[in-house]
Amino acid sequence: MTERFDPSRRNFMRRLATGTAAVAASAGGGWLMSSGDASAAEPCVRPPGALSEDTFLATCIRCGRCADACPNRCITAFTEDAGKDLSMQPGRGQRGTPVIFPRRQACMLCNGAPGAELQCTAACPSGALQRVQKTSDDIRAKVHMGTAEVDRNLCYSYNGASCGACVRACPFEGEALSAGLWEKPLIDEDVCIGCGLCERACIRYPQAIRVTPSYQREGVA
Amino acid sequence: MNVRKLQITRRLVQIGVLLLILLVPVAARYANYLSAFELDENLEKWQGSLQGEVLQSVDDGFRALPRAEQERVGRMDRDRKQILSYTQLLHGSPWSMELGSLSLTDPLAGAESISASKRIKKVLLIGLIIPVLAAVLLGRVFCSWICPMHLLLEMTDKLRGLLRFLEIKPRDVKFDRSVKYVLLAVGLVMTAFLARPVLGYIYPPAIIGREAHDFVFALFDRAEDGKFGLWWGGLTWMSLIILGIVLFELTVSRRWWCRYVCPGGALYSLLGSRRPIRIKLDPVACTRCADCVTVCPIGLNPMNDEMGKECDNCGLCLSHCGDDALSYSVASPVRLRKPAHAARATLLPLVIVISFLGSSAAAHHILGIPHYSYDEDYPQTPVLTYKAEAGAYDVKMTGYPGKPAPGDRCSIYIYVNHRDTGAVFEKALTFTALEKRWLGKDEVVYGPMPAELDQAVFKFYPQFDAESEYMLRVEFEAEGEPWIIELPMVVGEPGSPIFVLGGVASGVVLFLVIIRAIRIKRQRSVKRAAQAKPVPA
Repeated sequence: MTERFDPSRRNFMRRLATGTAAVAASAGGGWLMSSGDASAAEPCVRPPGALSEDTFLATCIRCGRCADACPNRCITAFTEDAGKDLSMQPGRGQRGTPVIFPRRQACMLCNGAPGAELQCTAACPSGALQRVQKTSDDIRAKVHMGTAEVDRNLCYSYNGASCGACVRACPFEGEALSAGLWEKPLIDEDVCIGCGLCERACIRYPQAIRVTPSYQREGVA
Repeated sequence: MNVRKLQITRRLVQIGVLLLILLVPVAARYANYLSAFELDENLEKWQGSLQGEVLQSVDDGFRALPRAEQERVGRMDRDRKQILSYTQLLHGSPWSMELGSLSLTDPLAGAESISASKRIKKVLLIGLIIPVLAAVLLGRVFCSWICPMHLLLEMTDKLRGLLRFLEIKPRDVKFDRSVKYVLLAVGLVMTAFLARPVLGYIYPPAIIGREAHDFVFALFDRAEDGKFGLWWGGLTWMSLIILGIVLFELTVSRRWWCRYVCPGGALYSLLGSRRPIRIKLDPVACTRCADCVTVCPIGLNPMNDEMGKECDNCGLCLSHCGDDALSYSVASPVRLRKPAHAARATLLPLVIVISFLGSSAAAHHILGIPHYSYDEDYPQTPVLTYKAEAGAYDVKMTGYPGKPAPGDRCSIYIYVNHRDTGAVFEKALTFTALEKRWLGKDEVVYGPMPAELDQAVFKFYPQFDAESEYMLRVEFEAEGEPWIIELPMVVGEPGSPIFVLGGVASGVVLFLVIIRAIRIKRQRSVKRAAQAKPVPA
């Protein structure tokens, strides 16, 4: 059973071949695993407290703990199936990372849930989501999921009717999203954190107000 | 401690971990329903179904936990609030798990995160403390006590025993142990280079955790739609990696994954290389029966006291030793021997791993890629959209409804335009709908139907009666070249777990029969050769 160290050239060559093959094979495999078409047809946003997209994708270990912790069920792990009905394709190394489809379920910033911190950020073991206290200041400072944008051609309030559904839904009502004349939504991009509650509340189809993920603004694929 | 008791405890812990992996997503869904005030309604609606019963027992479990007296907070009655805070104590999978208020993260996950992001986070280190300490003190105990794959492979080992009993001897090819260290090193270098984790995608405990989540969530999603019973829907092709490992283990190489390939096992081995708690041999008591050598799952040699760094301290050798020659000992860190070299067919395990990751080959026919989207005007029903390219033409097909139920008439519109000029393709086009058959020829259910242009669109209205997978075939001739574009379409939810399981099982049986037949044939030819030409002495 025992095999002693064999210093022969044949053994050396064998080991060299093994090493080279292993390196080549695992490099190829890794490339295959992480490559993919990053075509996100519909916007999806990262959970609150996420680092900037590139750092986030590097730090996140794809454990799914934030999705388990989310009391509102808005965080899902990204698979081919998860985004299929919203035309999503996982891009480079995105499989298993957490995403929020605001149109399906938006982040309610753990309103009414137990705990002093946003639950996904408290659950994150890798630090890809920074811990965020459930206070106005901390949320403003650390949560940048995206920014809401209004399509004035679609919005009822800009077209002679008065709606205001999005303004009521905004957690920073009057600051991030305030009502103008005839309840026209006015967005303050500096305050808006991109929770997507306005998009979820919008009664117009297709939604007149939508969240553009912050990573799309950064220009990261 | 009694050795036998140790083995029973180990098996119980393994089964417990497996149940926990399935319980965590159920508890997550339970918390969602409780948060959304949907729990009571769902419990009532789903009574008697699998999902309903599971949810009910989770509910009973959480309600049995002790509750502190608290003030009523708004409409959150205190029970609800208390239970919701209990559900926060259980998240994740063995890859990274919240257990009570303990955070436990696999060292491989930590290594990958650090190497990809090139920074060290405090939260990450906190989660690594217990697993790393356990590995440093006890070696690869994660493998033998926690890893769900290890349990699966131990069961496969028992199947191998059954095969031997049936005189179908499964092969046991040995590879080079250093493959896993190479894989670990290359993986970590690649992670750093790509700035994305890589190894977590092929590491079985991580895959099993993710798949269990997807599986359970899909079951509850179906229940919300009023569909009950078991369904594979949530599982992705990642499960095939697990299946492949098991099948290879069953037929070709015993414990190949744990011994030669697993990058996590490699990391645990490195961490535990100087573990103080190890198995020691009493050379006087040993009768050199080699029982321990046969039983060792990692393929080590306790008989020669060569436990090296890879021993997972599972204690199987202890329980199989008839001479009481082996025992756990707490010793000062021992000087390591050089690992045994066995460079035999070293390429194979890696080739197999990589082949799971490979992409599918391109065929002569063009296969459209499905793409569901909500129609701008009517968002409730998804529309199926396909895009394909045929020579100079772009072919687009829309199907409405995109996910038809059996019996639905489906409107299929086909747009063929020249890519550069945008000109509409004006010649005739043939459309056929085929029902895919597992065996034999596909059955034509509609067409072949030729069609002329109708306001720049080719329109067809096939009806799909059976719940099955269909293939929509578009044939036309452009610039003297014939084009066939095939587009898959799914009606209803074909494919049941029983069917898939049956397919896999019959495949395995067929495989075994073939092996047996080849073996019998080979034995006969050897016998015949021996009779024909006696070997000279």
